[in-house]
Amino acid sequence: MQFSRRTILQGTAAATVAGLTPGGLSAKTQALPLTRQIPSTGEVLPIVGLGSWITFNVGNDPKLLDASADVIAAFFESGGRLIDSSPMYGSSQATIGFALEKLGFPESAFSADKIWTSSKSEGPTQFTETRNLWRLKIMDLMQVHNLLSWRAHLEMLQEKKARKEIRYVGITTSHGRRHGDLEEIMMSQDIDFVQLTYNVLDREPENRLLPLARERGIAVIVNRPFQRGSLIARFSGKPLPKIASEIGARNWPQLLLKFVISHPAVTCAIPATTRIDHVKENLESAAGPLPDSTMRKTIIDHIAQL
Amino acid sequence: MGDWSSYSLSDFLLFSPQVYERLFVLHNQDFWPAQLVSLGLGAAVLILLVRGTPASTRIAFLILGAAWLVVGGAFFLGRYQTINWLGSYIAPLAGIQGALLILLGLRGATGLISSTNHRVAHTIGVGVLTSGLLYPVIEVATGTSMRGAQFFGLTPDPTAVASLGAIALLNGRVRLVSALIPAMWCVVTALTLSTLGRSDFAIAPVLLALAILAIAWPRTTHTS
Ligand SMILES: NC(=O)c1ccc[n+]([C@@H]2O[C@H](COP(=O)([O-])OP(=O)(O)OC[C@H]3O[C@@H](n4cnc5c(N)ncnc54)[C@H](OP(=O)(O)O)[C@@H]3O)[C@@H](O)[C@H]2O)c1
Repeated sequence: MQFSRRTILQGTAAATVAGLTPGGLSAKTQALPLTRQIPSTGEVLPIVGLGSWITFNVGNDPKLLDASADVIAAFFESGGRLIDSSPMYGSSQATIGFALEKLGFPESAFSADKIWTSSKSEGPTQFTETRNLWRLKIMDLMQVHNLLSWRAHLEMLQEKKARKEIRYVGITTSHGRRHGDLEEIMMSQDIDFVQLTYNVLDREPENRLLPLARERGIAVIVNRPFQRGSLIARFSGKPLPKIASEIGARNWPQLLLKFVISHPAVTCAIPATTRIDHVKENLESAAGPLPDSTMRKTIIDHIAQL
Repeated sequence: MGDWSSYSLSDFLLFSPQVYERLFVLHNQDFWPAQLVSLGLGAAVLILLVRGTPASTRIAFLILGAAWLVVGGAFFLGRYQTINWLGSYIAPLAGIQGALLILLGLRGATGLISSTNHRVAHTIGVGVLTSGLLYPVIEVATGTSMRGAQFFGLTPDPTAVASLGAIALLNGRVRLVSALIPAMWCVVTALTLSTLGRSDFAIAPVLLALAILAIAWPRTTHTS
């Protein structure tokens, strides 16, 4: 697919008017991340969000709860909005709820969580638990985790959306699993978001799912942009391609993230991190220029040679 | 869950090495000085089983059973479950193990092998039981901090190992059933620690292998 730098940079203006300064947080000096529109409503989202698998599962550990809240504070201060979690992620939901309360419930926060149970009847209970753990009344986005009992849960979530308990409905997969089923759901169901794995090595979604998302007006959240960190470990120490400096990528994580978010169908990539410097760096990747399609090909070719 | 071949062990690991280590640090802090009491009780188990009289053996298994109940409630439900929802499924298993060992003690179904007739199995059993009590020392020697080390009667690894040592001293077939849950935990802990990249991942499975050897050692009719 060909797309121009112009396509990729669209949304920059929106970023500056998004008014993302969360309540209770100090004003920031860092450039704001680019934004993309959620096709079903036109609402804009910063193109980099925050995952929570493993990183925020800290149990009752007071020191690590505070450390996680500091990462979340830095995320909002850098202009981030969407935080993704799941009942599957241990205490991550509770950690996020703790941080949101500590930060005075930043207005810009965009809550994304999931229903993760094979039981139809457990779905609504799980939703209530999730909402309580986030300490919120309304969840922005609820997704069906890994397509588990998706028919029943989608129906339930659509009802909750109609009752304005949630604002958006979505479905997730990862590791390239069940893309055929996902495609069918994207074709047949009225969903706002789809979440899938996409990164410089896992590019299969480019063939069908990403174009289909654009065609059907479905926002795309990208999980595992760093393959749970293994891509960073694999390439660190290796030379960056020359175009890295042109797009302001100072290191591999930034280049890998810029690759992901430069695909025009991607609405938001959600790298997870335990570190303040990393969360800032990730948001910074979304504030600068992104590779166009020629540069993307250069990145792919360069990586193939490493 | 579709294609299972696309999953790796790390896909099932919900927490980081730092979080797992701090779980034990906090547990030790919150329970201090219970470690001294539990180690004292563990030493009593060892002495009672070496003495090997019917009464002393009963008391030893009652203590072991109680240790599992503490681990199930205080550790699996109170602590581990906060970072792994599986904790609420493992806690009842620890409860079952506790109940089983207490039942063995109450019913006196605790005939032991003797150190003269089953010297090898007996020595291994006592050795594994002692290793369970010295677990913090072994962990520290393999790189864990003493603050994050595991203690018999408070956390699962040393409790499982010490129990396996004690069970290896049993003469009857009941030893096979009573070894199941501790053995399963040794495997779970080895998988967890190796996925976390911890250097001490081999302690529990090595001691489990030794215990299995002693448990599987053929029994004769002589009992002490
Ligand atoms: N089926 C599903 O719905 C599904 C499946 C998988 C994932 N997800 C979602 O997607 C999120 C992201 O995926 P993931 O957590 O598996 O993996 P990921 O975001 O690809 O990688 C996370 C790892 O990257 C490291 N990292 C992040 N930023 C970095 C930077 N700037 N420099 C160096 N290292 C950096 C982090 O380590 P540090 O802590 O050291 O920064 C962390 O270990 C998850 O957290 C979850 O919310 C959803």
